[in-house]
Amino acid sequence: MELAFFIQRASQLGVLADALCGRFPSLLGHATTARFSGCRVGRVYYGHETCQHALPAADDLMRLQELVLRHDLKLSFVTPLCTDAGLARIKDLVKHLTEACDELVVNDYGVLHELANAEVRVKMVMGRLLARAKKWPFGEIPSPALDLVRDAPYGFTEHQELLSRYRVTRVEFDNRKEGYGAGLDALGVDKTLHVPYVFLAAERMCLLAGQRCSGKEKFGIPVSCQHDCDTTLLRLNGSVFSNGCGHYSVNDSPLNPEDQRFSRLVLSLSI
Amino acid sequence: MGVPSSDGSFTVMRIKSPLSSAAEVRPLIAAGADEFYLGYVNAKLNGGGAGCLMNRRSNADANICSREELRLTVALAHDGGRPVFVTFNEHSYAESQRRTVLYLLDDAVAAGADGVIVADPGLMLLIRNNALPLKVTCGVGGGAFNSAAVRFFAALGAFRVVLPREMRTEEIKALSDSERSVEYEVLIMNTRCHFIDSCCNLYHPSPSARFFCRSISLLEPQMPDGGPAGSRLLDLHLREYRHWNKFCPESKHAGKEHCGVCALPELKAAGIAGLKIAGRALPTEQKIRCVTLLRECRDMLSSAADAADYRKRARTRVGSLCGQPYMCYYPDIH
Repeated sequence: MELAFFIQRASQLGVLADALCGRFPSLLGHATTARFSGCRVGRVYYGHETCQHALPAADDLMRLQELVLRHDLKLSFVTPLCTDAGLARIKDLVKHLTEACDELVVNDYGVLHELANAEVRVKMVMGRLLARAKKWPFGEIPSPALDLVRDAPYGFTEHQELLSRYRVTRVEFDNRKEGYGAGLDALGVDKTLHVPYVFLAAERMCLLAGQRCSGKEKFGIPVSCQHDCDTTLLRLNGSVFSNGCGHYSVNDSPLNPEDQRFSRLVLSLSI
Repeated sequence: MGVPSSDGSFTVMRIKSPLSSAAEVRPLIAAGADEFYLGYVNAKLNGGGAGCLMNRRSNADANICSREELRLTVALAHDGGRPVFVTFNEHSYAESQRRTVLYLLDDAVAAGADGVIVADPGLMLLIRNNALPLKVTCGVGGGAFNSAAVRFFAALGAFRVVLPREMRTEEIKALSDSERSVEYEVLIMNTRCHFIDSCCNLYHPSPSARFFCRSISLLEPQMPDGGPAGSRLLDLHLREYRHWNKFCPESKHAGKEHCGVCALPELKAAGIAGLKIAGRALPTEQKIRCVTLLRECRDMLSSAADAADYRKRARTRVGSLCGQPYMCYYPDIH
């Protein structure tokens, strides 16, 4: 199984460098880091899943690619859901991808449609935000809903036609405690599992960016931000972590990483 | 598809009302509804599971639950010249649901429904591959924030796209201006969820008090390394957030609903074709109040001197129900 480290922002480059030397952030539980300690990591995921304001600057992307090459790794460039303004920035950043990057992870159907149809060298990967199926980290989903939920992501076989049409070579999933049913086997592409943070939900009304706004903008959609997520996280009700616009639970269970259907395990070093 | 006027806007933005029974059709037409949408489940089709996760509100109170009532509802709406759209808006379906979904779709066709509201690209493809005579609307759960996403869904057969709630009005206009292959619809009243619909993977257990979005009350800032963080600015913001989020116990707005009527001038200028009222499970009286309010505000548009004059009059009409700025659907306009 291929192992990868995931950072979302340029401010986490130091965290990545530490992890490559075997030093992990203290927020990650022992069960998670123990699985990665001493293992050969072959890949880095870089880029934000939920916020177009957190897209990297071209310089940061170049710097990360140099680091990746130095460590003889490969890069998967992660892109968020986005408006047309964000899509334009993503298209510009894609021009800066070097031989270090061989995958584009998309979390927006528009990014998929635009870039899979463009002449881009990188492979297309469906990000975990597009593996849309329910999760409930606070209790048990009752039957018969649980069986449906387990088989829901890309459930109808028509999805195979879509994946093929858009040249998708890999689809990504969360280490949700509900697990995945037999439906996953039919997909016919490689599969990734993300640990330990389980994506739950996203918003554009950022809880961190809004603090610097006034009046009507305070709980609106920010037009820019000062990247407070670089220095602050939010913990909701004790068990959910938020970077302002993306919300994640934590699942350290080894159950799904041992599922042989996943050929890659991605460790988020932070959110 | 409707024909926009020379300035790109639709002559009249159509009011799309929720329905959950045949008895609601006539009073809602009288109140001003131009279109209807409803949920349809039928537990007789395939055992108890047939009503499970067929749409984003599978509870009986948000759905029409028999073939007979579906037929009657569509017939009554058509008598009044109103189209009916049936919602199949789960983000994704299991393959084991295929047979039930196809039965329900066939029932919708047989009842004469005009179209469906779909969020799952796989289901859109299933409908197209089966050549079902139903117009497809990409629901808010599709998550079409950009023009390329609109083209993605248009390529799968969507004639209309419901835009995500979390867009600024200038973003809506920019998107509508740049991609004109479909009609656009926006949500305008009720249930402005905390999370982006297409990016909310949370299971919604019964009762609704257990929804995660209804239980966010404790927000603790901390450093990325796990230590405590925060500032007075952030503390104040989080405190204010608990009032903004009507589902938090501290909120003073629990009795009010989200509303976007102030943004009608901008939405009309953006060429929006449809104004959707959320809330299939709402009591009939509340649905009628929403449709009436929206129709009256839409009528004010033509007689208002300008957007400021319109907003002043619209806010007077909304009166004490207005929860500005916390309850605004489009707070950039407030």
